[in-house]
Amino acid sequence: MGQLSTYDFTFDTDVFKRLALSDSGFVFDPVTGKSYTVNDTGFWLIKQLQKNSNLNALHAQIMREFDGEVQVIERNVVEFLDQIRQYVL
Amino acid sequence: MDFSSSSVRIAITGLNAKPDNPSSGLAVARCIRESLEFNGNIIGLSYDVMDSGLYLNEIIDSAYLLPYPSSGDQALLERLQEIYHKEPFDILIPCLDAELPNLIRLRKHLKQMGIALLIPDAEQLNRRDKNRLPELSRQAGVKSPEITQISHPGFFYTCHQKGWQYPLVVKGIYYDAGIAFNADEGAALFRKISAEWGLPILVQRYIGGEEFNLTGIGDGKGLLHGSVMMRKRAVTDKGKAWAGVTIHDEVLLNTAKQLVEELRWVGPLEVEILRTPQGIYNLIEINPRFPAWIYLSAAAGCNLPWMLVKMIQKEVIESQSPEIGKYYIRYSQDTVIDRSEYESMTIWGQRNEKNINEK
Repeated sequence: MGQLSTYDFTFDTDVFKRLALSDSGFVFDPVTGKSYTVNDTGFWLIKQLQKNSNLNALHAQIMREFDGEVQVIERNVVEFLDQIRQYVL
Repeated sequence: MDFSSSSVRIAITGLNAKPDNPSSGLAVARCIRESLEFNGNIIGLSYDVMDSGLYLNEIIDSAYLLPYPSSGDQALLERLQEIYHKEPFDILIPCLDAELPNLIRLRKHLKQMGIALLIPDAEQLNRRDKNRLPELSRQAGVKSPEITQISHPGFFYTCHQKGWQYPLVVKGIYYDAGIAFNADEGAALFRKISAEWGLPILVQRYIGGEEFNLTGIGDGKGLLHGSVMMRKRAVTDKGKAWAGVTIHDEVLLNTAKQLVEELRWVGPLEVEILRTPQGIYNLIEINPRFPAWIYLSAAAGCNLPWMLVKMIQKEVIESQSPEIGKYYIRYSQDTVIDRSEYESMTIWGQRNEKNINEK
């Protein structure tokens, strides 16, 4: 693991569990009333985080699911997690 | 009381439906009208011939003008007696803050007439005054920003000496508020708000964050019934909700429960909370009535105005949980009336008989 291994993953993981996800990519937070849209990859990532917020497990899942350069994938995941931290948490 | 919920006659005040800042009366009436159990009459009471709710026949069965609250208790009582003589009603639901002091003083007279209402007493009402919120918050164990009462705009030019830093929230004693980022803006807000709502003016420390609202009904024994929570999704120029969505926030709910328990609140209320980015919940206001967005409660399956009617009638109320994620977006629509209707309201303070009979 590269960037993901050093990522400061201090999330309130209950937040992921409470999010209502629709297949359309519409995400609704029933506590704050905020809604978001995510693409297929973002949808998949939030689904994973709802099931398991352990970074090692997430990394392994990502490597199984996606083809591409590891560093690029990890950078994208880190950016997405930063966006979640900024907007959702 | 010997009337059933289905045939009950309900008078509702606050029918101003100005798009940017409507009263809640029309929304309360709409909730009751849509209850499948209701088969009674709704009598609209309002203050201005231009209050459009007076003319909405599909929601209000009949309508009358009232004297403004500043006219005093006697004028209000006489007018209510006059209306009651023409058209008796069983329940009165006030929807404006400024009406409550008069109605609290008149409640015994109203009871003798056979009119029931569920409102707080004077002490309960006063404890939630904006200038007393910090004291109430301490007693209830919730947080609230510091507030001070002023009667001169000079405060804004010297307040830094007393530790008040900009931005500051400037509020009217009943309505209206704005944020001042410097002394000139503060003084301008002081003049604008005091010209409309009078003195004193309240100054509150500014706390950044997101506003969450809860409405429910206090039973007077410390319990909160049928709470519905909402987050504003769009606001008007006056900061009033234009769109919103039902939510469920356990901390917000518990905060409201603590306040209702501390006050032993009786009747409808709206609790306004600001959640800071650090997750701290601050009490901003308690409104002693249903909010203008109350129709969302019925739409989400927890019809609070109808629950209020049942509570007043001492009927068993069922616990209802609102559907979470129900959005509302306010819209405005023109209502058109004949000259004769406007004339009747202007001259006689009521809809003309022809229009009532045509319903």
